[in-house]
Amino acid sequence: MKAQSSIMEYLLLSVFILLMIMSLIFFLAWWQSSQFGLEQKKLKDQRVDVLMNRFINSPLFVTENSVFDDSKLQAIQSLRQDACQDLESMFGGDWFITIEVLNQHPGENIGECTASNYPDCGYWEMCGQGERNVSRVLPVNVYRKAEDRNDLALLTVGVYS
Amino acid sequence: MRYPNPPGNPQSSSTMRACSPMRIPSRAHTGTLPGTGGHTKAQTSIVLIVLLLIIFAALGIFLLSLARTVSQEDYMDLYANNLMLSIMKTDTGCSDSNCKLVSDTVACAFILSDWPCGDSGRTCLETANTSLSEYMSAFDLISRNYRYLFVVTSEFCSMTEEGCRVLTFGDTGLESYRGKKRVANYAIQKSMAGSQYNIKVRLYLARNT
Repeated sequence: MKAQSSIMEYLLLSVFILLMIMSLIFFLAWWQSSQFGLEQKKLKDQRVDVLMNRFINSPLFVTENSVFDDSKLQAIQSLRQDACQDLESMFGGDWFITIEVLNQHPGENIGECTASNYPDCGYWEMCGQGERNVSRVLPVNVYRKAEDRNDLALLTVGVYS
Repeated sequence: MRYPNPPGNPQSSSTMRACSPMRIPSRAHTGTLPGTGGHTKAQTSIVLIVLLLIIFAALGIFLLSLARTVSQEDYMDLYANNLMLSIMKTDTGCSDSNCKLVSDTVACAFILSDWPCGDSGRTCLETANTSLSEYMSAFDLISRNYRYLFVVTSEFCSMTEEGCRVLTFGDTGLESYRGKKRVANYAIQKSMAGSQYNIKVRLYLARNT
């Protein structure tokens, strides 16, 4: 009887230790996969940050640091997909930007800027491909050349997966 | 039957019965009280299990402590600085050169608070106050999650120095707030009334609690 209980005790202990080892393995596997996901997101965030910094300083878009020139934006916008391909050759692929004017004046159009409604329009979007992934926003200005006025705007930069 | 005394013990003498069965107490070879051998083993097992649990828990806590979300610090610093920069560069809608940009209006409010902003019928101080609150509320991230404070002082004056003029816009409690807050600075150089002014604007941002 005593021998049986002793065997039982060892058996239980073994099962318990086995369970602990198994749970440790599962925990480490989960840990590894979550770390991988975090690392992936971190890399995307870093890429968005780099793109953001390049856009707010690029003379292609701005007149001075963080002040986007609406005439330059309109010129790029009017080229559509051709412009996007050229921009992708400079900044890499799979990204999009949106520049939206925030302090719209009464009576102004808030729609997307096109050749027909410029300069009475609200936002410019480049290289948009539909579903978005990681994006970040940054306060900027848009210089309205026709009115010689700086408007408050929001730059959204994102990358696709 | 008598046995002779052992050589080392001359005083003692004993009588032994030759074939009488001898009872040896169990503790003689286990070293424990009778009937406690199983308890000791069980205690050892429990200690072992507890030890394992502690090791695993410590390992888990250590690994979880490393699992921090991706840091937003750099991005938020960039956001705060660009927020300050873009607001200061935005037009107020006034044509008067002293109130054209928000930075002009803030400087004007600091130097000559009651200066009228063109034909708007408002003073520099009123225009600065309205513009700053209107433009800050345009950003969802700020209006929903953050409190803000703009502190305007002379470049050559410490914020806490006695006798220095200090102009504030926003939540004044933020200056003494001990929690985490972000700071962005902006310098304005302005010539007004024949004098050159160097004005320092500081923006404090802190998360709503």
